[in-house]
Amino acid sequence: MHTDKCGKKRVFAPVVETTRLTDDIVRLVFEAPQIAAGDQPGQFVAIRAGQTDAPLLRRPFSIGGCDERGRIEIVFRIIGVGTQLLAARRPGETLDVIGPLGRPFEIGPDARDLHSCSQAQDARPARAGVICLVAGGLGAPPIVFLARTLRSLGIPAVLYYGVRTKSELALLGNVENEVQRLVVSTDDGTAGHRGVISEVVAREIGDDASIYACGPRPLLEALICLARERNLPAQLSFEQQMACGVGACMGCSIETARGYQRVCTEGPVFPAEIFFAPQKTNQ
Amino acid sequence: MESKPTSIVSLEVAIGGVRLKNPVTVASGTFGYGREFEEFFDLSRLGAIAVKGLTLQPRAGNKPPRVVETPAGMLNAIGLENVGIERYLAEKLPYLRRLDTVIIANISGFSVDEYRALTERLCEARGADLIEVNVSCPNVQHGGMAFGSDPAMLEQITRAVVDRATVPVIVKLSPNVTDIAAMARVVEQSGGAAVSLVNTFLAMVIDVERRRPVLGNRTGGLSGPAIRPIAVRMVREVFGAVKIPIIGIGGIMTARDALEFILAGATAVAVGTANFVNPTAAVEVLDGIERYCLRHGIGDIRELVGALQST
Repeated sequence: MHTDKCGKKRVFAPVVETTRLTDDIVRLVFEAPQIAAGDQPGQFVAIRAGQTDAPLLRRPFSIGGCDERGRIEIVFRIIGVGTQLLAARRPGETLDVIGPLGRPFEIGPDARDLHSCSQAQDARPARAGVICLVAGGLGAPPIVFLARTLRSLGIPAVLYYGVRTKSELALLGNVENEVQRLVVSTDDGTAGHRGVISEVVAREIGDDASIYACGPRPLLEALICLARERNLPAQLSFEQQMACGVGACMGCSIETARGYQRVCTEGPVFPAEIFFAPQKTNQ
Repeated sequence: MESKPTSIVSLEVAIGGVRLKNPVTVASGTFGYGREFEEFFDLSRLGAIAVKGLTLQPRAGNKPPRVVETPAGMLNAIGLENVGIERYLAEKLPYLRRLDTVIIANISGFSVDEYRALTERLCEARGADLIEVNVSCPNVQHGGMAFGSDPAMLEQITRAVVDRATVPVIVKLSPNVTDIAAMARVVEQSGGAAVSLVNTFLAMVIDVERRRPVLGNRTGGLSGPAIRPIAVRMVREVFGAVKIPIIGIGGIMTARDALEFILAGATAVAVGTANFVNPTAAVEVLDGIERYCLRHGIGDIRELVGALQST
């Protein structure tokens, strides 16, 4: 229902804009209407950082949003050679991009995906209750994309966002206008609650909520526990070292209660239930 | 003077009597079961497709992380995750059979009996046009590379598979040996129709902050452009040692890379890690080989096999 509706494509996409959101966080926008036509929140693109054999592999990035002109946005922290090269890309240069890849967020028990909702112009959420979006740090982009999509469908949502420090709130852009309520936490207390966002979520969340989350592994693990204890539906977007991005190499698997699952194909968005089990969720 | 070719280049080659319309294949483990790449190009353009290594039982594979990038290369320790022979035959083969290309089934056993059983089942179900025997996986506890680096074991497995196979048998060699040419000779003498080389190099990357290996399996197999010059040298050595055809593998990213292997003595080449970087790499290699032939007035690709000038 959700997979490959518009197919994976390799596109040579012109860079539209590269902006520093903080000292080391970059927003990169490129034009790829062929990908934007079919992408959904939670899906990702795989981009070649350079043009030579080093760095070799593509880098996966969650799609942070797209517009009607086919412009796609990604946001990343500069952590190595690949992200350095990408941060140095300038408008007019071309990016080698594959996408859209992976399984997106789905809303509703009938697993209707957002894309078909918008196609059908059916704005009612399939599930009653509060949609609770949770992001940590660099996990913001797909959640912001989801928030915007929900807003365009007229579905209200609350967004919880945890970052190290105030300046990283720049990752949210103007998403405040897209959600019913925005709740923020910082590790250093420079904005919002001091502490981790999962604790804020645990304190505030009601029994009719559904969770949609992306962020560091400890955040996702805390939310898996919360979903299990409170019997809440939850969908979580994971990250893993990746090689092919298309399901061929079996390199990006993570451990779940249902065995190894490929982040690029069965994920990156997984339902929390597949981590409920005797088995632990990480090593 | 520029040569002006007027005829179309013949790219056809044969492996153990099986005709490949061109010498470009994909390396087992880098191309899934084929279908993963169908949205990127017409898979029937390939000379052959080698599917993900098959075992008798489905395998879950190794503990993550399973891949890590290295300078101009990568390490993998997938651990032969695959659907097992029965699901391959039931779920993957019907699609592959609709393609106009040669299917190479790569098999891995943990004993001689398992190789024999895999061969019998595969041949009885017409699951492959060629069988590639994996005796070179560096990422499994038993068998794998250990089989391929012991000449007696290599002989036993090759003979067992050849004995039961109704299709020609390729043996995929490990580069983690002192004398790869000697291993190729063992395959030839045991009835193998061809050798493919090289599989990955056993390697390790350490996370110095955690003071631990990066990969869940601790070690993995190195592939990609970083290994290419060693692989080319090994193909040359094997070319000098055996008469059976060679499938050259090791960091092929472009047609020029593939041509190095062909000139060194490879009859066919397999694109591996490049498939992860560029999903259309294999057909780009193919097109580039054809252009090279036209540019150099080569009418038949076979003229280039081993055609390295000695002086």
